[in-house]
Amino acid sequence: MRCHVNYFKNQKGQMKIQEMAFVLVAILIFFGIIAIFFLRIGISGLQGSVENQRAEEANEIVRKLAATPEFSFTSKDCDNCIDLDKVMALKDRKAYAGFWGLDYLQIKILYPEKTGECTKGSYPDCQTITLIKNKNETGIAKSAFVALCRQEFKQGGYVKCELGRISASGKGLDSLGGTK
Amino acid sequence: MIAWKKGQEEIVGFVVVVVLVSIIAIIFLGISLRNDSVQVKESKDIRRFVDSALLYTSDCAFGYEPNYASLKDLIADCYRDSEKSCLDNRSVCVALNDTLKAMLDTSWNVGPDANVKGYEFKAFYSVNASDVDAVKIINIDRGNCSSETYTRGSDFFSTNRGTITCSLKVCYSSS
Repeated sequence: MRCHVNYFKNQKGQMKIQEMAFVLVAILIFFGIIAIFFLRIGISGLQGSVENQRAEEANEIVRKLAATPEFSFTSKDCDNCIDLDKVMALKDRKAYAGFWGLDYLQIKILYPEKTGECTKGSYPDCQTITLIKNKNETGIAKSAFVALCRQEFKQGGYVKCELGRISASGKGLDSLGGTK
Repeated sequence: MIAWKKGQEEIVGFVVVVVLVSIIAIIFLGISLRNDSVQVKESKDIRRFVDSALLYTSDCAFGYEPNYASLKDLIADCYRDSEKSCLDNRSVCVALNDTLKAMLDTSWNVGPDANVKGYEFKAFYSVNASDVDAVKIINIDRGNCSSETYTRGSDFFSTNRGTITCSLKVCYSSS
């Protein structure tokens, strides 16, 4: 009879231990899910700030490039403008190839739509002016929208601005304000 | 019999605890997923696009050639005097609509297979930034911009003792 009572007591104790173990596992899973939830929020916030940082870098680089005397458009009060005539004049100057320490530097006219790389013969009815294009690894280019202004000599002459994008990559971006 | 009943009660209690924990976990997961689906960002790239686009020299000349209006001039003149017309007899608002639409279509590749699902460009006049009675000047949209993932940027300039604000919202695929 005593043995029978002990058996029941043991079973009850085991049941309690099992129950506690299950509850502990459930609580652990619950806190694990909460931890994942907060980690996801943290990571998504980090991703957002990294993207913002990259966009800011690209804008900073472009702002600094556009502000250099080699690119700046001085006829108009515009800090977002690049002088396309100056850029075209720089295209064939080998001395400027290593000036900014960049591996890649291209200016592209987005609108109005045009095609082909600019040459002295095709300018300004062309789409891209590639100033620097090293054969070595150039990495992912950073780019930003710019206003591309030039002197138009038709109809007595006037300033014409078009919409474009400037793209750059290379170690020299560090000195211009970006990080590679 | 009594011990058996007590054991059943313990199991019921355990099931209740597990169910409660599961419900709380599902609620947290739901909140987490809902937070992730809404991604609104002020984009400097889009602000730079708007800023650069406003400087674009259009093919609409006022009075004589080569007095071509910039996009900024077209927006301001469309608000001030919508009857005004270019030398080629196009209304200033029509010239603005044509130029801006072509510019946006060229710059943003919109389509079901593209990353950009749609865009919305708005220009409106207001006396001050918090003015609720803003006057709409132009509204151009393309594609599906009902997606909750988008970035936007805006630029403004002064005119007629007020401000004209131009804003662009670009919508992306949620995945």
